[in-house]
Amino acid sequence: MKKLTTLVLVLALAASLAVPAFAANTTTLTTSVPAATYTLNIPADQEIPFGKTSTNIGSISVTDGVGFASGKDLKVTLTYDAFASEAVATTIPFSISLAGDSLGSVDVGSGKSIVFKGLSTGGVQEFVKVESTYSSNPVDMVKTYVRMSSTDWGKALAGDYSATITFTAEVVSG
Amino acid sequence: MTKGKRAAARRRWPMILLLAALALLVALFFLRGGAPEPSAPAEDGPAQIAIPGYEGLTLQAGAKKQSLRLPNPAENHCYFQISLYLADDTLLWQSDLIKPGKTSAPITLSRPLDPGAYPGATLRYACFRLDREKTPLNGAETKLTLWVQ
Repeated sequence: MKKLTTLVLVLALAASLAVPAFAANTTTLTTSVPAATYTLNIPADQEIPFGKTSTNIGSISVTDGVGFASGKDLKVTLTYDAFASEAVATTIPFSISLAGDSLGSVDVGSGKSIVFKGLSTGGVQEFVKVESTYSSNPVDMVKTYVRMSSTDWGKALAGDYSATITFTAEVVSG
Repeated sequence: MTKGKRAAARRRWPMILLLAALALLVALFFLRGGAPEPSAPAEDGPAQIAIPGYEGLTLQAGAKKQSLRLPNPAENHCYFQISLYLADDTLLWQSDLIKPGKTSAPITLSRPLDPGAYPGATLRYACFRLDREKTPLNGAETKLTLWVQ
C-alpha cells in the first residue's frame, strides 16, 4: 500500500511539472506626441470714445501654430468686467462680440470661450470661423467689438474709467 | 611768444576743442535722463500683443535653477511680466519686466519639483506700456502641462 501511495504521489508530482511552458512574449510599442506651440495675438488696448456704443478694438487671432491636428484645437476664454474708475463709484458694463468683415457675428460673454480649430496640416485656424446664412463658406471673425449701451453711458459719473480683458488659451482635444 | 611756443599752442587747440565737444555731448546725454525708453512706432489700426503659447514645457526635476528662458516677441510694443503657476495656484516663478525682443533670465523655481507631469499649470502674461508709468495693458494666460524629468 505504501509503495502504491508513493508511486501515485510521484506520478502526480511528475504530471504537475510537465505543464507546457507558454512564455509571455510581448512587444511594447511606444510613441511620443510633440507638444503644440502657437502665438495668440490679442488687442493691446483701446481708447473708447465717450458715448460710442460699438468700437472695433482689433482682432483675436492665432499664428505660428505647430503640432495641431484635426480634433486638436485651441480654446480661448475671455474674462472681463465693467469699466471702473478709481475716483467714482459708477461702472460702465460692456460686452464683446466677434465679427466678420461684412458678415456674421458672435457674442462672447465674460467667461465664454471661442475655439480655433486645429488643421490636418498641423497648423491652426488663424481666426474663429462662424457659419453664416449669407455665405456658403464659414466667415472669419476678424474684428472684435466692444459694445456698450447709451443708457449705461448716461448713468456714468464723470471720470476716467478702465477695464482689462484677460484671454486664457488652452490646447484641447475636440 | 617764441616760434616754438606758438607752434605748441597751435597743436593744443584741436585737442581742446575735441575735449570740449565730448564734454558737451556727455552733459546733453545725462540732462536728457539717460537712454530713452523704446517707443512704439506709428501703427495702422489697433495695437496687438503677441503671446507665445505652449501645450507643455519640460523642467528639470529636483532643481530650482532651470535653463529655460521665456521670450517677449520682438514685434510687441510692451513689456512682459511672466508668472508660472501650478494648478493649485502655487506661484513657481515670476520674471522681471522683459523688453520686446528679449528673453527672461533663466527660470529659478520657488521650489524644486519631483519628476512627473503637472497638468493645469498656467503661464500668466501681464503686459505694460513702454512708458515711464508702465500702464497695464490687456493680459493673457496660457494653460499647459509641466513635464518634470
